[in-house]
Amino acid sequence: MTEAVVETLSENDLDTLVSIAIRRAEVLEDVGSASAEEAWLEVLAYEERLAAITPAADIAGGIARAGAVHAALAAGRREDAERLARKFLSDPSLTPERRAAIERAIEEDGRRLAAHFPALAKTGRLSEVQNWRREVAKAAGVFPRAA
Amino acid sequence: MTMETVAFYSYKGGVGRSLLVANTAQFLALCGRKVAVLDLDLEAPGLHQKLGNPQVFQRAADGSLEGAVDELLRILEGSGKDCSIRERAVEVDLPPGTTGSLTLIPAGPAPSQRYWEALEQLNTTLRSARRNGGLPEAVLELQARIADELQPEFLLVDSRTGITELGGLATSLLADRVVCLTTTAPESVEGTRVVASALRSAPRLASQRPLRVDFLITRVTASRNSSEIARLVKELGGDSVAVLPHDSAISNKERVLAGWVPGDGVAPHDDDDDDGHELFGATLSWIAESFPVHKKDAEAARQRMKAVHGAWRDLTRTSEHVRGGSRGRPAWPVEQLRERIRFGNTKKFRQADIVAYEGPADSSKVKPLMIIEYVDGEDRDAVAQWWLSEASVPVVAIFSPNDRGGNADHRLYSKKAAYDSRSHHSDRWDLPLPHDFAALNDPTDVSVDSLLDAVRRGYSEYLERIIAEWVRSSASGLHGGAPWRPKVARKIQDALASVEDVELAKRVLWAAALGPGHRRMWLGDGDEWLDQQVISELFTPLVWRLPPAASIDLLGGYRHFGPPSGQLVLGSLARKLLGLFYDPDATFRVEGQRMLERAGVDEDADEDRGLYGLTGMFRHTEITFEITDNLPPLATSRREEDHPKRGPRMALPRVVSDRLASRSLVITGLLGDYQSTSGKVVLYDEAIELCADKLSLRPRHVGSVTLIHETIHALTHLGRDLDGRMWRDFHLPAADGPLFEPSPFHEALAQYFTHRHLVELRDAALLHAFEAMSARSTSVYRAWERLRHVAAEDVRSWFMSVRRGAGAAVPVLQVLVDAMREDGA
Repeated sequence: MTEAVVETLSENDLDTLVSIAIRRAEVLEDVGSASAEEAWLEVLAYEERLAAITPAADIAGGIARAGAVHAALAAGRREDAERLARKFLSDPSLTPERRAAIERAIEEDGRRLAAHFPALAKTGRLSEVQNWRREVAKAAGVFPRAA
Repeated sequence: MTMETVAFYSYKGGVGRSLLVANTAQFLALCGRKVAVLDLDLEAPGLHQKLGNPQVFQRAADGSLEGAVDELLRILEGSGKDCSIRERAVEVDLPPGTTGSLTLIPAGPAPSQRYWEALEQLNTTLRSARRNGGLPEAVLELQARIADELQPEFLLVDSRTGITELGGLATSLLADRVVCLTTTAPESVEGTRVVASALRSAPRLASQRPLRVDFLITRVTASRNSSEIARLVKELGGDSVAVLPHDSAISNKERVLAGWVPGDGVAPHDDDDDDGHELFGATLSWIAESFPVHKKDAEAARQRMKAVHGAWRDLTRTSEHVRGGSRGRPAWPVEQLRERIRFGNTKKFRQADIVAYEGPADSSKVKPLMIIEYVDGEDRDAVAQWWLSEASVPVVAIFSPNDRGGNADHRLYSKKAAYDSRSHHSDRWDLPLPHDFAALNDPTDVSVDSLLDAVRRGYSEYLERIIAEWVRSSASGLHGGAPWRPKVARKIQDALASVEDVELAKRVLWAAALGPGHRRMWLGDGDEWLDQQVISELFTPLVWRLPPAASIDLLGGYRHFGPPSGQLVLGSLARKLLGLFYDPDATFRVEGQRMLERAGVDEDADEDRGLYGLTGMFRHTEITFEITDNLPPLATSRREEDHPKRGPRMALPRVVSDRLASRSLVITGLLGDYQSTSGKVVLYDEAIELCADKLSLRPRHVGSVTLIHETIHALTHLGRDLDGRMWRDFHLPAADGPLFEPSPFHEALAQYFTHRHLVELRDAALLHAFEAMSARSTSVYRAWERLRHVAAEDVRSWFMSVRRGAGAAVPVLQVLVDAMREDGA
């Protein structure tokens, strides 16, 4: 579903779709499907839209913000997750519970990655990779394309 | 310890990138550095083929070899965290004594089905498991693990060609330095330029230093002019730009420097074949510049490579230059040579640079004949002794750096040689070839004695070397020349003259008579003077000293061009002994012209001047030779009824016995003959053998005395004096039957000059034979004894007077009368 289409949806529609999408992504992730990340990207799209149309102080708005960060991390979009987290956390109206949830999600993912790449983590460069990714994306050079 | 990561990248393939990775890695390891090599050319891996050993090849073939693909998969899947990277690494074999190490992390068991499946799995995982991080984290994790576990000083990465994700990561994210290789092809240069530009501006991790980019222009052919290369260098820019030359041998089969097989299956064809030498030399220069700490080591490695390369070429060179061209050489077959072979046990071993085997080296039972090792900084003698005792190899060649900066020195050591305490090696200056091991008792011993021993046993291939040694020993004069060692020269001539076998004796003569180019091969600069010296002082004496059957084969051979024919020998004898000129061709030209003049024929006219008939008239002026088993004239009967029962042939032993018993032996008519009407010198084989047997002499010696005696008859007849005259009307009477009596004057002169010639030859055996025969001969044949103290010039003067028909020959005639009177004749 394109971004333009998502923007036409109402909050109720988005609530319905995001519930279905979350269920679908979880099932796909459980069975180890290659489509799971794509499914989480769909969740991310709905959650990001919900976060945009709901106040941070509302329960729904808080859940959507935390859900968006979680979905981005689940989709392997750590850079997006960090970007969203920075954005949501900068809003003073975000409730402490949701703020903690977002921070916990980012930290847990960091710990998970550090466990996954222990040698790299030991060098202290793991955290540099995300910045590097951003730089590469901005540079848009022909080489390398990895980022 | 800080690990420096150097990535080798090329926009296009086929530039020699993997070979350079392997060479650089080996070189740094040989210099004592800890080196790891990572093959990230996952789509076309091959480093394990260059650096691995047969066990690695086998593991790659059966799919059990693990590598970078497996490791990246484990990292991405989060499995096998407890597995050590060492389990997937291959320790590359290095020469014993190397303090450095080289660890290879291959891509995997390529090319095998399991490898392609693993690679596909890796790609799938990368597409689906982004949550666990991507390829950047994975390759950085791999790099960090290598640094953690292996702790190398250098990590060399062979990265993928073109614009690929992994290639980009290897160069811009992993590397501290990138070496970009390109050929001079426009598409390669352009691609490299674009990539290099991207690399220079590529983002780096915050903790990384700026990326250094070096360039190497490879496979540069000689046809590329320097301005074109300079333009490329300018275009590429970078921290450094170097050039490596093209080498077809390397293109066909890439070889690793430290594991270099100088001619593995490719024998050099000629001296112009560089066989990788230039490329490897340039590679080492590049390494020296790129890793300045090891500049000295690179130079030492270059020297080593040059020495081993030179040795390989020497061993396999199948042709050699001689004046006017080249000729074949009995080189080592390439299949009998191997390089980098380790001997000994796991605790005590050495590695030979080249091993020469007795047969094709692919057989396990084949024995090594010669070890060649380049030794730098060790006691050469001690190393050689280790090989001789521990490896049971008959010959060891130790190469070592030349203190004066020239080519490497080498010393030969042999098990059979008893070296003196001062010098523990052989004097031989070249490497033994296969036939040396068959022919020489000690292949490192090329002394004259050793070579002569081989020649006597039938190995005529050493004749040229012996003759070259003769030249080196005697070719000297007022203005210098070779070292003058007359005793050695004499020893060589005596040894060659002692050859008994007729066929071998013929080869001796041909070797001594061969063109100057063959002598130049040994001496470097032959000239006319040298040629003449060999002909007159070695070849000519040998003609008279070797068995007549061999000499006659050469004396009778007539040729206008090519090696010196018998005419040179005969001309030399006539000139030096008799003061006459013997040159039948010149005789024909001078006398023939006179005849044409007398006949009033225009000598230069184109029409038929009857030249064929004219040459026929001069045939007899050319001396020919024959050994026959016919009966000699003195043993033939004109009337068959004289010997009705026994037949004439049965009379020969009696004739010889009677003559010897009655001291009336004669040479002309019994042992030999000169037929003046045909110019033919004949030796009667059977009579010579009978005579030799009765006198306890060797038939060859009796034959040689007879040959010289009769040849002198021929020369006194056909030799021309200063006035150009021959002895047309004063020749020998024809020997035509049992009543034949040799001419006293002719025979006395022939004996005198024969004796004189034998004295000059300094051949004791021939002189003994001559004297033994003379003692049983008629007074005329012994008259030389009375003349021996007369000056040769006087005798010659009498002889010339008689030739002219003048009466000045009284003194010599008086000697003959006195001799015959004393004899009671």
